[in-house]
Amino acid sequence: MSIAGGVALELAGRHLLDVAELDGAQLELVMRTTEEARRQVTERQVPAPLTGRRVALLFVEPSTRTRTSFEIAARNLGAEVLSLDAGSSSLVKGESIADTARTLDALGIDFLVMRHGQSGAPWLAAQCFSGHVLNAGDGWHAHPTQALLDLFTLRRALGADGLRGRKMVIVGDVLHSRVCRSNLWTLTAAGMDVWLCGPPALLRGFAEWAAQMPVDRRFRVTDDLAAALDDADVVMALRIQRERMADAQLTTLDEYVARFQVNAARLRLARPGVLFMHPGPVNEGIEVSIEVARGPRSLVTEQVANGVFTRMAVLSLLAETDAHR
Amino acid sequence: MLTAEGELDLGQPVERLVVEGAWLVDPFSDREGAADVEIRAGRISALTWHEDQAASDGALLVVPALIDLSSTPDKQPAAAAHGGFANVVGAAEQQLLGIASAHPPLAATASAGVPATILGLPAVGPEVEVENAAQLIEELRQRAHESGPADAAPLHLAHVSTAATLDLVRAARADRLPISCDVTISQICLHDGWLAGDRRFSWTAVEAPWSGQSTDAPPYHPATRLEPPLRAPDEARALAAALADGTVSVLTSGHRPRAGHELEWPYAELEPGISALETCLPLALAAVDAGLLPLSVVVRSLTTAPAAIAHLALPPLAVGTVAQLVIVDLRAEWRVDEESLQSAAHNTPLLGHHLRGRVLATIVDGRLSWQDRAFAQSGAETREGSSALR
Repeated sequence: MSIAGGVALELAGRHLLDVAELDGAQLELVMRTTEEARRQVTERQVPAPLTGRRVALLFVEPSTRTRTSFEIAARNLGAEVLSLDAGSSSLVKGESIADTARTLDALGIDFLVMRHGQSGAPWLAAQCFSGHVLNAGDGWHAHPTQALLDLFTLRRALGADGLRGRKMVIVGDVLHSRVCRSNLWTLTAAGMDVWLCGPPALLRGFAEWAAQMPVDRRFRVTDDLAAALDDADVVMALRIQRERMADAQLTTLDEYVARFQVNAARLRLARPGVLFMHPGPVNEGIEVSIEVARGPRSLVTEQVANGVFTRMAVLSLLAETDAHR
Repeated sequence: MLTAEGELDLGQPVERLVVEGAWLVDPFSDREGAADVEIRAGRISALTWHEDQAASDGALLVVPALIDLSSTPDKQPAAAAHGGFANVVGAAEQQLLGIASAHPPLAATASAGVPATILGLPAVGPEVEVENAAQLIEELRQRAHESGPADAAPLHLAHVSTAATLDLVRAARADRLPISCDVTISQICLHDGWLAGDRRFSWTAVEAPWSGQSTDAPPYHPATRLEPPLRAPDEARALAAALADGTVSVLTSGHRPRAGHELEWPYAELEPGISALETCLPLALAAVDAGLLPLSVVVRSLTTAPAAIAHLALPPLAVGTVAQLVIVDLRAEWRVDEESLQSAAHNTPLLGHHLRGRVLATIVDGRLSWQDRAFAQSGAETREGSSALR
């Protein structure tokens, strides 16, 4: 028996490369399947629909949490897991992504979970792989399972029907963030009032994108944190990297902290009980103060826990598409 | 109607070939209309313009064989011939002719715009090309100042891709500087939405540019990585307008073949290039159909205009001259695929697409350099073109 329990709906296709193409019904399917996975894990009654299936984790760019989360999710479902790090694997060195995908295909891998520093790399792998490719983050472009676990976490916190019209602020290095891009698709699909905020240089191009979105999914873009936080229901901070300060046209990290750090004083502008989220790893004291990151309204640990359920859901949903092939 | 007699063999002089009721476009005399053309022993033996334009049903187009000024020659000569080209000017000649790329090399993965933002690709705006073009024009201005405009070595800006560069060209021309420029067919017909999987032509996309959702194909197709990068649909429209008004005199395929293994890298690490020799004319004809370009402009910009810059003497369309023509079935569609493409380079996002405008025959220097299957029925003494021709 599978987690999805014989749901007739299919995920967007053979792979999970992006969330942009997932419609409301497909997102609902993933959410319900994730809820089922959560229940099964909590009750310690997980069937093993992926028994005998092989999952390769190809992380060409380092990531501890996402890789670990996928590994636990795959093991929970009974799969065999093969972990390939860029640093340690001779498979990866000196080989193109396409060659690596072909090799893993020939080795009988069923699921290729892939993290790569270049936008679009998973599409290349998908062309050369007969199983399922799951995008675990590509360049600045997409991080589908992060957006899905964020959506699941928000629905747990606000209710499945509680997202529409709520104000969600994403603050930080928007320009280089795959988490932000993927969340834009899922959060606007859920009807949230999404605001992007950060130094102007790190918002480049997003106002033009917003203007081209359908009216009911149009997000807001501002460098005025006070305006963004006004009446906000949820604030998500993005990880800030020191080496991006030049791109941000800011001289120091201190300057960023002074203008954009999410802290208790600033959160007073938001609604009482405002929720805090972060895709991790958190730079405490940089993009967010320690008190907020670890405070009672922080959903950071829930996000991590829900990541496993979400990844179980997408793995089992993709496995179900095999029946239609 | 197309009638051939005697042997028609590739590489051999055309013995006798008659095209009746053709639509003939003559860029030498700037005339187009219904006409009959007869070729004997590799030369034009008769050419009759009809007063009544209804004498042509518009199925068969006859134009001089094409010249590609600023592309990369293909290793397979059949690729150019299949595209209707008589000549693809090589890199060494391009340098001698003062042809310089408007866009600096390896300066952009994508053009700044909504598709690049959504796809998370590092992007640059048109200013990179504009600055480079401005510098080349400044050097030309210096040369003209030193030797006089008439004696200065001319500048030909290749692959202009943005309206702002066109303004510089217009200003330089107003100052009587010896400057010319070209655009690629990809910049006219495609646009940056193609990076994301949009497969509408620029004239359709200009009203509603791609904004992230519906796509016809997967994103990050390696052959959408071009140099200069594909730009927004409204830039494509400005380039077409500039070709129509004469600011841009030459159209080029921008052919830059890539082998299969070169396409297997993440988008930002790809060498730019598109295989375009064989799809250039059909795409240009699609732009004509869409009302974007007059047919006479397309023909001139692919024949006499590039020939003038490359100092090539083309045989005019006149009785007694050597036949150098392309015969196109305007109604026949063909599928762009591994089988139809003569180039070994299949790096084109048009793979699998159907295009209208099939080159039935290319005749260069009186000899047949390409013949379509429909045209090459072996052994027939007299034959007619494809069924669409009748």
